[in-house]
Amino acid sequence: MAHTSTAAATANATVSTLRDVLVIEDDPVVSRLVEHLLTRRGFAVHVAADGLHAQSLLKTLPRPAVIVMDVMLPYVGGFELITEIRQTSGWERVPVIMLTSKSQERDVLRAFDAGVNDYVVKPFRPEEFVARVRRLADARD
Amino acid sequence: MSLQLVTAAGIVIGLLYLVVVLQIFFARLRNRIRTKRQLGLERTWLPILVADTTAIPESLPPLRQRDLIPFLTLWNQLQESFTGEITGHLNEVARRIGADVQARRMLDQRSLRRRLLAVSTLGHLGDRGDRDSWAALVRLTSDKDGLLSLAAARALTRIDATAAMPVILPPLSERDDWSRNYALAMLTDLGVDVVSRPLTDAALHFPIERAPRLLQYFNVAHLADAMPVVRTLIARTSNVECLAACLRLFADVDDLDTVRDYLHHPSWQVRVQAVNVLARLGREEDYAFLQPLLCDSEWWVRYRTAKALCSLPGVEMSRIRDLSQKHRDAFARDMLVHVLAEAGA
Repeated sequence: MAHTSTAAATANATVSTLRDVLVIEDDPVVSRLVEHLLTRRGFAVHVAADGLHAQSLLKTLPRPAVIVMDVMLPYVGGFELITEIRQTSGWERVPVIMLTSKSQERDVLRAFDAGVNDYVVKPFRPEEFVARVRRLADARD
Repeated sequence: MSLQLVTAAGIVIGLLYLVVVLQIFFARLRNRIRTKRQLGLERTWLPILVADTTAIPESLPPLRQRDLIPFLTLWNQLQESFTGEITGHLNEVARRIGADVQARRMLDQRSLRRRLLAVSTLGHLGDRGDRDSWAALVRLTSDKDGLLSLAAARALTRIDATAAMPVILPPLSERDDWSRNYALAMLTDLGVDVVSRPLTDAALHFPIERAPRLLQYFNVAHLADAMPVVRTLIARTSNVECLAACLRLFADVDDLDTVRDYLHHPSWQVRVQAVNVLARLGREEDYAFLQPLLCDSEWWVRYRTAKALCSLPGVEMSRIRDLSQKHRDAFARDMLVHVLAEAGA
């Protein structure tokens, strides 16, 4: 199930405007963790737990500021999804951050070739990750 | 069939149906309660665990006993997800609520899940001063459960990598229930500088039948440490597994003379590894050394030889094609044709 949370009540939010981030991640703990990290920094987070769900959100969701996604996803893989995102009208230039445990050079190269804008390997530094999301979101503003 | 029998059968089927429906209902209910409890736990603890590293609240909420396992599961998941300063913050929170004490108690429990969780927790806490936990984890590396013993080894390496090496090398060389990929990832994480000397020394000094298992991790060792040990072992042993494992590691043309000596070893497992090395490092003159092996009694040796011949520098495909037509041995001719077809030549 997709869900959305906002940071309206987040006391320590450092970003003044609310911006949408689509998180595509099948591990519920990681997705809730990313959601928590981003909402407390003022982002509105939409979560898709698999590739199929993400495909449906491409049609229904307003264009987000940033997409954070895993590579290995049920039903539709990350690379296939990036191709679809890049072909979706209005979403062609949405920055994509890949958040994955795949750390080999060939995985990183393949991701950049597929069109991702940034690549974060798990385990990751949470504040650095949020900074990367913010940088890409700011660049889109 | 009497009416009574039909009625009885109907009642039994109805009851079975009811049992299945109730089972599904209760399974769903249990799942919902568990999810709700997990979400509640995350709502309470995530903001504290993932807070700014400088800001741990003065008073932390009490950890209820029923929340201990979900909490430790979440805490370990965060440890696995994060790196950097925040892991110290996670440890601080865990100590403040007594999760370290609870984890130590859980080491002695019967449930494997709880023991694994305890082992992982103690590893992430990384308290080298906690001698009791260190001793308990050392003991667990010899536990009969492979998963638990490997998790204990991982925990020890997290606490003190250098001190853990002499502890984990004996089981690493003996246990066939340790996942090779997991062990390799663990050694890779420790880094070459920590692993290289203890690993190569162990391969040299442990009983020879244990060396092959250690040799498979030699790509996590410095070449300067690894190759002298490989050369010593290959000169010293007649153990087939060890010879094959040593040959796999040769990567220097200066070792080609040694490798060629094994092309006619009585064991085909050794011959095939020698051929593989020549496929990687061989020169044009190895054509003459390899050609007789096209008539080897073992299919794999013939196959690898044909592949090696095709990969030798300075050997044209036309020469291989010519050999495939003129070779006196039918098996050799067949293999060359097979390999040429594979290569599309």
